[in-house]
Amino acid sequence: MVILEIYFINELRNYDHDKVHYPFILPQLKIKSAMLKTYDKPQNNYQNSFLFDMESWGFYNIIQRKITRELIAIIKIISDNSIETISSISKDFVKKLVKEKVEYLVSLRDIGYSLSRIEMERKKEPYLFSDITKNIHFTFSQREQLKKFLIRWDVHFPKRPLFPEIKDLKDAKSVLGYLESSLDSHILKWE
Amino acid sequence: MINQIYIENEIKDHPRVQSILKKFKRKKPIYIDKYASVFNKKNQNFRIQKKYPSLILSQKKAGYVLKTPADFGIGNSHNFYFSHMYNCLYDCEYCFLQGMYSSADYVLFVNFEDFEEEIKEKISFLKNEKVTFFSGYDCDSLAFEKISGFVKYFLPIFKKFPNVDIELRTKSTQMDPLFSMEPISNCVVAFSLMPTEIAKKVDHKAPSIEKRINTISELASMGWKIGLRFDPLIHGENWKILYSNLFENVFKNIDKKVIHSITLGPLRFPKDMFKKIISMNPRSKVLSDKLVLRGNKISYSNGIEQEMQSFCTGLLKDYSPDTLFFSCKGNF
Repeated sequence: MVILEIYFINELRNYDHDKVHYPFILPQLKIKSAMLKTYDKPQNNYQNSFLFDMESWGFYNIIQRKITRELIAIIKIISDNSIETISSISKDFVKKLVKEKVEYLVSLRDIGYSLSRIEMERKKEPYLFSDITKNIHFTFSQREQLKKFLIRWDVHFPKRPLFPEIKDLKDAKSVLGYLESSLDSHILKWE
Repeated sequence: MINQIYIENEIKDHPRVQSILKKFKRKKPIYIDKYASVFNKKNQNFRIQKKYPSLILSQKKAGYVLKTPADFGIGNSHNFYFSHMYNCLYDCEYCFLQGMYSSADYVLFVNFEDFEEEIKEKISFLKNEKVTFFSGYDCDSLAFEKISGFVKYFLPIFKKFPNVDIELRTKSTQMDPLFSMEPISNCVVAFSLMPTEIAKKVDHKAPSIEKRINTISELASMGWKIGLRFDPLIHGENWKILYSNLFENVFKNIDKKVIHSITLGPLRFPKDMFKKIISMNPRSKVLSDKLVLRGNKISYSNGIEQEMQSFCTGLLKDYSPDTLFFSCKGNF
């Protein structure tokens, strides 16, 4: 492995436990991919078939419990090899390594952003939800019902402003009742 | 089209794997122990994967051929299905696969020979009985044909058992293996159809209804038996006109003599599966319609369902005899 080369990790192994993760491969990757093994001690038995470090497994293993796999990526820049060993690494050297790759890393970040937008769109709070619940008290289950109705409203009546229709309603039950009856009396248009 | 290829170590030298790899010369495969190390794990996002699906080459270890649900059939007394692949190239909003798996990656089982063996066992056990095998339950039967060679492999096998039917369920217009062979009398090529106006909004990435009808017409003119699958029936404004136009369009383009069967099925989902599907795609028009919980299934109200079923059946009777009709209620 050549110093300064950048790698996308496509297989992540925990050396001690022989467990494996296969991270999602970002689309349009223009760098090499490699397997990485995480050890709990520094290694100097350099291999050509895989990379090693001491932190990626821990990072991935924790974060994948909270975040969907498609939004996690591990990218490594080679800092040492059998010729230039770990003893040659300094803070300034690491800065230099990263600086040279920043432009590419930013482009990868943008790919990540475009994927996370898909997820953001799916999870985004329905339009008017905050405004409605700020003024009227909704119980937890009523809030969930309201979210569903507001999404359906958005899908079925994208050009029909809701606010003028509900502005005089005083309580959660009336708002939900109004939404439900409007949505249920609507017939989907396909043409 | 394929983001990454994963291959189970055990089958890395399998001839079918080698032949598939030749079609993806630029891809460097990743070798894995079992497909479940990548597929259907927790914390995966079906929608993102659907945009950038990977192909996982695997071998199935058991359960090659399974019984269909009780009300699923096209006239024969014994019905089985088999899935050489999980997931589909198309992205139809009502598809149950979105709720079945958390992954949208394609799993292709390359050990066709094991499927073949179990199919033959079933045929031998049920000899003198009327049996149908269905393909296209967990995937589209033909959409991946150029890569998988599935139909090319299996049709000659079924040809040897003329008393057994094989249904290939599809929305594909890639019919190369069928166009280049003589029609097989016990093979039914079954197309899923719905009005053009609805398909444009919900059948993403799938060939248009016009293209599907053209393909049916070509196959029919060659003498292939055709199945028409109006499943699911989808409600909306002017649905009667939309379905009348669809039926008229289909039947003016197809020789009625080659129609093997017609099935109608309501839009329906098992309750828990629907929850998953709508959470993945909350802004889907068809999923946001007024669907209700009936027993353990989510569907249109009984009134709408019955009206659609009887209206469509009524219209179809003008084109085809009653004996070709089958309904699939989909009780879960």
